[in-house]
Amino acid sequence: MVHTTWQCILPGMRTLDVEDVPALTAGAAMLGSGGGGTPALAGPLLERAMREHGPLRLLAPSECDGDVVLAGAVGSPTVMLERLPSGPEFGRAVDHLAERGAPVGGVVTLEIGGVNGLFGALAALTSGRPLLDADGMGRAFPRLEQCLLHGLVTAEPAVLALPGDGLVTIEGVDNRALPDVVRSLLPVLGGWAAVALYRAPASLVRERCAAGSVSRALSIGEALLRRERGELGDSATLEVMDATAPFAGTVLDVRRESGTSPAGVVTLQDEGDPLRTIRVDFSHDYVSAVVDGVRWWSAPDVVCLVDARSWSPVPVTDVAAGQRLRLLCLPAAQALRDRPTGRDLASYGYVPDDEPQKLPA
Amino acid sequence: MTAVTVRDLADSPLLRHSTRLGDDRGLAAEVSNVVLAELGQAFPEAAPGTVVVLALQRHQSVDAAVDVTLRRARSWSVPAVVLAGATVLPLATRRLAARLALPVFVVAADVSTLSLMAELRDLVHAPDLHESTLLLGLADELTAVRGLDDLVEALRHQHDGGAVAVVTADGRVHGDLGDLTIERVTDVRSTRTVLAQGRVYLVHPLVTHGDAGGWIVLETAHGTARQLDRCRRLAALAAGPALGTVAREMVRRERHARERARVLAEVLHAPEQVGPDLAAAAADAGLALAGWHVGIHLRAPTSRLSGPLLADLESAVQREVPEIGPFVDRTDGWAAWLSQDAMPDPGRIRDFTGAVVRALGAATSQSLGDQISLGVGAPGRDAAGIALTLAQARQAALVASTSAPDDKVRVRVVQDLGASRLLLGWYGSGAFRDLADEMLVPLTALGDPDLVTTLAAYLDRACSASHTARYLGIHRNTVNQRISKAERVLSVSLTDPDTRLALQLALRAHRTPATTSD
Repeated sequence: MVHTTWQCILPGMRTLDVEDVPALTAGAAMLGSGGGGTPALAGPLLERAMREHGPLRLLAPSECDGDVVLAGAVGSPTVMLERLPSGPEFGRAVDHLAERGAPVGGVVTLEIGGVNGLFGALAALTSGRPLLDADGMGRAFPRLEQCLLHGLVTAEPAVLALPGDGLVTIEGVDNRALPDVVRSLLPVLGGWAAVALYRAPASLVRERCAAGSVSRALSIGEALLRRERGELGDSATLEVMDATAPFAGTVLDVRRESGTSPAGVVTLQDEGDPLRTIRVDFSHDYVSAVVDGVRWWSAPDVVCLVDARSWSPVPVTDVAAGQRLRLLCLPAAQALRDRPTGRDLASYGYVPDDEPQKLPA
Repeated sequence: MTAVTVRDLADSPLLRHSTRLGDDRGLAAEVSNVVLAELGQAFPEAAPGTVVVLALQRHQSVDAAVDVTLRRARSWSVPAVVLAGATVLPLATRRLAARLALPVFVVAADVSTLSLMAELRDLVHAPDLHESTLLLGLADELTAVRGLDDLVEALRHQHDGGAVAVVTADGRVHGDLGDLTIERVTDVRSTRTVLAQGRVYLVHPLVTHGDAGGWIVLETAHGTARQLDRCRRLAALAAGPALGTVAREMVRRERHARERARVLAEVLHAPEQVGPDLAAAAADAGLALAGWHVGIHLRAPTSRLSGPLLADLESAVQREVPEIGPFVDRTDGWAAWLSQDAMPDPGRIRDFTGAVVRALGAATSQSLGDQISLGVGAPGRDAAGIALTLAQARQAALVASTSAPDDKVRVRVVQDLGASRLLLGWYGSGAFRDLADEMLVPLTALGDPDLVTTLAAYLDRACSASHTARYLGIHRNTVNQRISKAERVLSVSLTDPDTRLALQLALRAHRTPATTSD
């Protein structure tokens, strides 16, 4: 698989409106790599906010000056399905953080993969600020410390906002302790909360975050929607997505481990060669794909299992024996490949290979 | 003791109760070593035949690195993998083991990896211990070896494979070569395996100063790598003593041969004056001087009749005619004589000649072809008689060597020579040979030996093209064409009787070696 540097495709400032939400939803689901929650949950909220506040301004990172903040949600996506978000809490978190220091000129999505891919936009819209075409993780990652700004700026002050009322501000806690503090608060706060943190100069975001990731999600989502409508063939869709999908098969077994990471293994029988085994390991998201003992892809590349027919992503929580799935892999954002520490196999508790695997021809 | 295989491991008490992934493929693979490795690390010492014990930490049973390790193990020819401390493995790993035909043993976490490794090493290295015992035993036996037969016996005690032999450079075989021929052994210049009739033999040359002074041959039961290694070590250990013994025996035989030649030369120099000292020396050399003698003389190209073949011929003749004395080196061949008290009658000489020819014919290899010539002298009495009969035998052998090669061994008895003896003296003389060579120059200058051979055969067969064609195995027209060409080249016509006679004599002289005398 040849990795290509994914470029920000924005020619200049543009706006996102209601028509863009389905594409953003589909793209964020794909970049979630099977984790990061359900973007479809946030789609209606974003559409409603757009109707109330008008279109969302989308800026290239180079078009923004001053400070920006990262925004999204932390906590359990499963709990979120029962304790639904309302929308304004994302804007409140950003506003509250903005009051503490220099003016904030824009919002950056915490992670483009999964439900946060839409919550960043929701935070920008409800706080009345533009959204930057970038994100803090380049895909979906399960832990705050896997943010690309981690270690470059202080994460605090961090603001957690609850649906309805309620704000929690965390100050004076260093970067190492902050993720633990947030995790310890979440059960008290109801399982999840909107969050705004990592106040940073826009120039730093431009240099170190995954630039162009909102555009990338839109373009991936648009390709998937066009394929679904029959306007694009499979290979053309893959080309637009910059993706590879050489294997498809039937799920023979899903092994789930409880307690510690890694969390489980999906075993698929290849549809072309029934003796060939496709193995996809997952934690909160799909981590690596191994075909007959040869590692084809692994984090930080995006490994995704999609329905063999519709190509809709199947999250790790939904994968089950008997499903016919296709393995789809997208190269990691350049920012992740530049700074892989903490975002590779070892960060998931997997044993990394001592020597590079040779991919079969 | 044969090599340990994966099946042996599977049947051992150690792994009998473990779970084995994969099918029965790969169970016959040989195991030579065991190493311990951790997940994600390169295997140390993972040479082919090395079983890898992978020590898994908690939760590593589900790690994809296990699959990656199995794939890597297969590509490095690891015969089996033991997963120590594994819990239930994912289906993907189990399917992969079957796909790779790689035996994978899953040992539960309650078995100590340390004791597992210790016991596996004991099991796998048992053949090494056995081999060390064999080598020590051989080293011990080699100290008491007196000859090559003893050495073969010592090797046979410690070698549990099959045939064992030592072949000397003069072609003597001590022990059993199995299905191997001596030619296939003597072709070997560096240690290697030779296949014969589906059996595998290790042939180890005893090299000294770049030449092979002999060969050790060991048959391996199955020809496996481990057995061949063991044979190599046994042969290498025995090579030193074997070479020493071979060299000693060669020197002894050479000394005896020289002594016989010296004694015979003295006897022939003054046969009427053999004193008691010379008689005693002859007796020591195995040469009988008293009584009636019938001499034989053997001619062959020296380059073809090498030491091994001469030894074969000598022993074959001695088996057929036990009364014959040893072969003695002469300048143009080898001489020996039959001795008895009474004068042998013509029937006895005929029987003797027949027996010698039979023995030579049986022992002569294909490679020597029709190049042996045997001459038999008339009976002679005492030392003077030896000189006479050997001289006649030599003359007869010379005549035989000029005759047409009708049989494997060309033989002439001196009494049967008749006119040949008259002619031999003539065309064996230097003057006539010069004349003959001059006459044939236009023909020999062409560099076409077929033309010379055809012309000689044509003249020897009364100028019959049909007989010549049958004798040479070519078409009659070819004979005619060659004869015409020969006539043209020589500027002669074979219709002239004088020309035919002159050419026939010239051709005889041409192929007769120059007469020499001791």
